[in-house]
Amino acid sequence: MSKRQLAMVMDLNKCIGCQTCTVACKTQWTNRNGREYMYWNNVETFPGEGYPKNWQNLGGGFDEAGDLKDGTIPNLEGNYGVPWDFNHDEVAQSKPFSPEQDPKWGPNWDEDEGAGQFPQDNYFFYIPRICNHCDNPGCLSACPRDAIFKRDADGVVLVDLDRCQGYRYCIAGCPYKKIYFNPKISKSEKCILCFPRIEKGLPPACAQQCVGRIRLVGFLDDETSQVHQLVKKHKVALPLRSDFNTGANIYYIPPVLAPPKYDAHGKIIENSTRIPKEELETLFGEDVHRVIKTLKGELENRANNKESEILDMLIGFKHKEMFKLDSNYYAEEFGMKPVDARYFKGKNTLKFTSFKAVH
Amino acid sequence: MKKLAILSLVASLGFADITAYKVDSVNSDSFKSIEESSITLYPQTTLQFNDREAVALNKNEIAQKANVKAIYSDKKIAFQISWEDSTKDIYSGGTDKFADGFAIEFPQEYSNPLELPYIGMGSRDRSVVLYLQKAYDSFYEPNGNGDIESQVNRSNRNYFNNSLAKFDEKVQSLSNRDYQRAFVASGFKSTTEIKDKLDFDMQMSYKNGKWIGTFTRVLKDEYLNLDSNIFPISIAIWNGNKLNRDGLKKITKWIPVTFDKKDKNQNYANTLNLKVQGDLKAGFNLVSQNCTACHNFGEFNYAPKYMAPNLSNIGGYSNASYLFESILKPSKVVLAGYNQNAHKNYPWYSRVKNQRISQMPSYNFLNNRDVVNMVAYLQTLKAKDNQ
Repeated sequence: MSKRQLAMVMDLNKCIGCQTCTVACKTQWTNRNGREYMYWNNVETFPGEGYPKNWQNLGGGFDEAGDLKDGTIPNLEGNYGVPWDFNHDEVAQSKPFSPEQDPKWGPNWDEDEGAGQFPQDNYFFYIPRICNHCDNPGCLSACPRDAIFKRDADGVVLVDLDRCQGYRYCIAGCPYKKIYFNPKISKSEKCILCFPRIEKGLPPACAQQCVGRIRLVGFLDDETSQVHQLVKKHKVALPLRSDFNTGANIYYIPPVLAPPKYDAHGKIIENSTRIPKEELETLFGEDVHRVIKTLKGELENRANNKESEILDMLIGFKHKEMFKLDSNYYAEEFGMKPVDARYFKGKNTLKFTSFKAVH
Repeated sequence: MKKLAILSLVASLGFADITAYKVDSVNSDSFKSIEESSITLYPQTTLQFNDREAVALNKNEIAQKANVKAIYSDKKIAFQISWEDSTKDIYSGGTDKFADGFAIEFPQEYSNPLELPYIGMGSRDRSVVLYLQKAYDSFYEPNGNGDIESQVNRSNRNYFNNSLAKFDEKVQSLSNRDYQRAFVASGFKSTTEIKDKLDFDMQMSYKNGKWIGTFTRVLKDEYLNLDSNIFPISIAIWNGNKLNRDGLKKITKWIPVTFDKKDKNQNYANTLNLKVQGDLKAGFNLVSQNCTACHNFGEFNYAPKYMAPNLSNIGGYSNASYLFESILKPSKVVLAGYNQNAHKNYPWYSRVKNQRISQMPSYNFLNNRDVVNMVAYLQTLKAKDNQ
């Protein structure tokens, strides 16, 4: 556990699966240097196999006794998917338009498939996922080189690229499979919660760019932050798969409303809901029912023209209120020097304008 | 010292040395007429790692023979190691593929053969220097310049065309074809890469189902002085096909290396090669009474899995002096073991003033004969070899 902990709350009721967060992260961090296949932020459709494929069943995390569980390292082609190009040049020679290689999986392979029968009871919702910056990270525990560390100042979990030797036990140890192997430099890399931005008082790129304004960021112990109020005070935000026992610090407002089911004649089945209870329990634990009840109560309040502190927060009126960060805190904590200059290189990567376009 | 007295009680020799032969110049041709020694590498089973597939693939792994040649000149020393490997695994990409490789480990301070560093990455106040070579196609960092930012998105190829092709060539020229590194370590987990320019070279070549690895370095530099009569080495090999990396490997015990043109320090070699003569039956009884509550080995799996080092191959990669020391003074060499977060109920040690104190009590209350019998039995705990 760190001295303080940054956390993020994501309201799944408002996520429209537009992948703007994914692209914000990709262009900021992972479109180069061996990270091409990585999605530090991805949005997956639930129910679905997700990214990497089948990640919920690949092991890692801790058992009830607190022992790290064995896990499986996902395969690049089969579980992550290799980024591919299309044969644009060949199309001009009247070849069929196709990918240059035969892709087997990708970060958004089963988008919008969901489950159930249309139109009776089909359903799906989106889950955006980033590193959970856990209290007791599986990746950190698995590393035989002590190459992964959790910052005391804000609980951000980082890989020390100098110490990392590419053994990949961290990938087996992370139950969310949110740490990746960079084959080009033979080291592991992961979401850094945009710490160079955070230290300047800016939210992570994924949160800043979110079209649905579903992401709130702040310190868990900061009573003025919306994150604190939703997680600690109102207790309506829950971690994903808390049964992995790592103490995840990305919290979700579970999907509250789903349309009712239709019967065989196309009639509405009263009081039915399309998202199965058991599936919500698997993702968010049994507490999910209490949360849904609370939120439904809040919705009713609002419908009756009463105040709702929770819904006011979840609407996300102003970035200033949604993101409670403090560059002064970091300046005091770390001095004016950045803690770690490694990832500043990202912003210094050669600009494309230094190449001459061929006309 | 009690232990020394024990050693003189039981001296009997069982292992071969490596002799380094003087040559005019150290190069790959010089190995041709040199006599080779046979060594045995045992699967590391003290710790088990959390990769499910790797655990399954390496279950019941056997020991492996390898051959070693050594040569030296006035300035340099070189080793050539050859071992069988039915699969040639060169890393060229992918998230779940691993490379074949080998490493040579030297204690930084080796004057006392009774207190050598722990075989796996040394131990507190007993540091090691090690050299690692992995079979990599190419990789980009560290390349001496750390130029990982010199790479851009491949998918812009169509647009940038020639400029990008040129740029590619530059990046390729910056990449290292050899994954070759030197480290210092004073205990598992403490391993740190030496980034100074060191005078050493490693090569690996594969032919007819065999890897031949050569390692050349100067006899003496600021990290290590091998210019003596005798010094110990340990050799490790990794099989990429079995997802070997890190501690998932085969390793030798400390093996003495002597020089053909220098005086032999026979006592030193004997200490490393000591095969303890004792009553194996009595040793087995003592070990099962005193050790199996915490330690597992072979078919003895009564202790919780993460409680203490697994002893299944302890006789394969430990010298007798280490076994004596561990029984009598368990806090002298304390393994870092698992991350204490990973298995919090089974810390292998506690910390007092930053010193690790082993959870294991000293067994110095046993009489000498009992300790000898125990060590004699522990030396038999090792996997069968491939020959």
